Amino acid sequence: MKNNKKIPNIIIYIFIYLIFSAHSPWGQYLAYREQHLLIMSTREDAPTYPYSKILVDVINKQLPEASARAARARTFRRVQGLFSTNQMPLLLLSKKNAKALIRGKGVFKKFGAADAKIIYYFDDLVLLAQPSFPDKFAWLLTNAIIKGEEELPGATSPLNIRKITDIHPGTLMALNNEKMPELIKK
Amino acid sequence: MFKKILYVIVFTVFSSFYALADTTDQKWMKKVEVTKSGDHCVDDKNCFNRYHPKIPPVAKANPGDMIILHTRDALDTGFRLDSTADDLATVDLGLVHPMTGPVHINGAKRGDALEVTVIDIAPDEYGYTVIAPGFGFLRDVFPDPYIVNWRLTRIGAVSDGMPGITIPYEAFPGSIGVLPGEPEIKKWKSREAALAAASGVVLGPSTGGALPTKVCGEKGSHKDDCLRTIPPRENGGNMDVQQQQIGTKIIFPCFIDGCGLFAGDIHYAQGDGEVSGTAIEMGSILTVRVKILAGKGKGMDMPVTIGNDQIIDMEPTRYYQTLGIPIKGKGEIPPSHKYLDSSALVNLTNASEDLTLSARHALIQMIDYLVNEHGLTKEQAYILCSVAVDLRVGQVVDVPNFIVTAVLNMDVFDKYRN
Repeated sequence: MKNNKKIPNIIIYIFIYLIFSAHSPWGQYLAYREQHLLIMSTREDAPTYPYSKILVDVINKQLPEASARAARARTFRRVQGLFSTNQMPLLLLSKKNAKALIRGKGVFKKFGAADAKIIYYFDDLVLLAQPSFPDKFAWLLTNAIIKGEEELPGATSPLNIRKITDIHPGTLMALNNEKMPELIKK
Repeated sequence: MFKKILYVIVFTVFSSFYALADTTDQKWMKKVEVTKSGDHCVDDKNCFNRYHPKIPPVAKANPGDMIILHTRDALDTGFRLDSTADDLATVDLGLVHPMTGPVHINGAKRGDALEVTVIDIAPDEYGYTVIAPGFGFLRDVFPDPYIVNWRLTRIGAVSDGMPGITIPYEAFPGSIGVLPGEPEIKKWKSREAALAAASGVVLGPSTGGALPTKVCGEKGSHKDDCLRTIPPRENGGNMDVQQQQIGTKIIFPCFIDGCGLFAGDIHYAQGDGEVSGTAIEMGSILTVRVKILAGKGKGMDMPVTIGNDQIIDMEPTRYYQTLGIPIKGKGEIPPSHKYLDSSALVNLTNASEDLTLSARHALIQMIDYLVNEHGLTKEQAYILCSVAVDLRVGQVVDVPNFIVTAVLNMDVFDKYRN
């Protein structure tokens, strides 16, 4: 947990990761998505946007290299499109809608399912990551959240909730106090 | 008796006036209307966002018909008056640009030309201008997203994000054109691939968000040959030429039988250069009328525009002008020059006969002027330049310093009008 001094330049890793993983057809737009850890929310899931801004503030305080920013999608359809194509690998949703996304039901029934791993809970909200989101980034992100937990209303470690099976492996390593994993592209 | 006659006369006269007063039942136009349905292009059978000759027509029209196209905004966004920069980050650029059509023009053949008269543009009530990260002429200077939301009427665009400024209504189709034929697809793909190999900024065919899915989607019949709509080409498309105003005629070479006319990405107003990457973007109802010029497409390199006094009407009555020459900082390579071997350029502070660097120089001075003299933020200034500053070539002979000027229409400031 105290590996901050050894944290390499996360921006370089995010750059490499996105260059190889993003499916954005407009390569120039990557210039922005390369430089910031974007937390996606949506207008259609009202509490997600205001909370994403709190989360961004905490992450930037604990992990300034991430240069986190909020990104609000207008609709669930846009959320599914950007998340499933890995254009935006981090997503905040209410639990009900997160389940619906993973199962391709409810509000996501028309747009299809998208596989996702859990990073953290905040009362009724859940921070999801693309399964291909590197363990190292998930580890760094989880640590930043743990360190800033007091400023995050309702923050709850996934380990404190029973029957959770979809925790991101990097998050699990951070919660188990394991050392930071190496960067491996998935 | 006299009274009765008088009543009859008065009644007759007034009833005839009444009949004459109502003109709405008098019709002469033959209209072909292509409407919108659903929130986005993907919901709409009349919408597509790639170019290929196999995209089927959604309507047929005869020369002389009023062709009415209901168009979507350039980014197919769903932005609204309270949209913020955080919304801009979630734009899906696979959806750019949603086009309405194509419309098959009866009687038109490959090799003909199509003369398209812009009859009318009815604007939506809302429009936006954005700084899109990684896009735009000064993308190295403005890396972060920014949005200005505009309230639109036909007498001006105003915004809470640009107080004291009104942008005049000078609408035109940002994108209008005809579908390419098979030979054009092959030729354009080949030249763009060569440029991409030289690290040029090229957007090759991509299936993400591509419409129509049957032709251009992931399992589409021609997915590798559906061209992106970003670059203008010989078929027109995303020309972003503001002089193509209401009343002008645009002539396109036809590459397929029926031409495949389309339009979208309508601009409420734009400066020459559209420097931030966007104009005042809006949905609209565009009306055009077409005429076939038999055999005239064969000799055409590109579309041409024919106008009358529209170009004069757009001129400012007062202006401020900055002048740019091709100079730059030592060690600096602007994004526009990164694709070529820049080793000769990098340490020069003066380039030779380079209009792009001259334009950059003029624009940066204009932004500084707006910030220093009018109190705008740098982002507001860049946006204002995108919608109301014209980059113009001064001269291309006085080597090595060709001049580009940036001309600001000072009438946009409310304090100088009325």
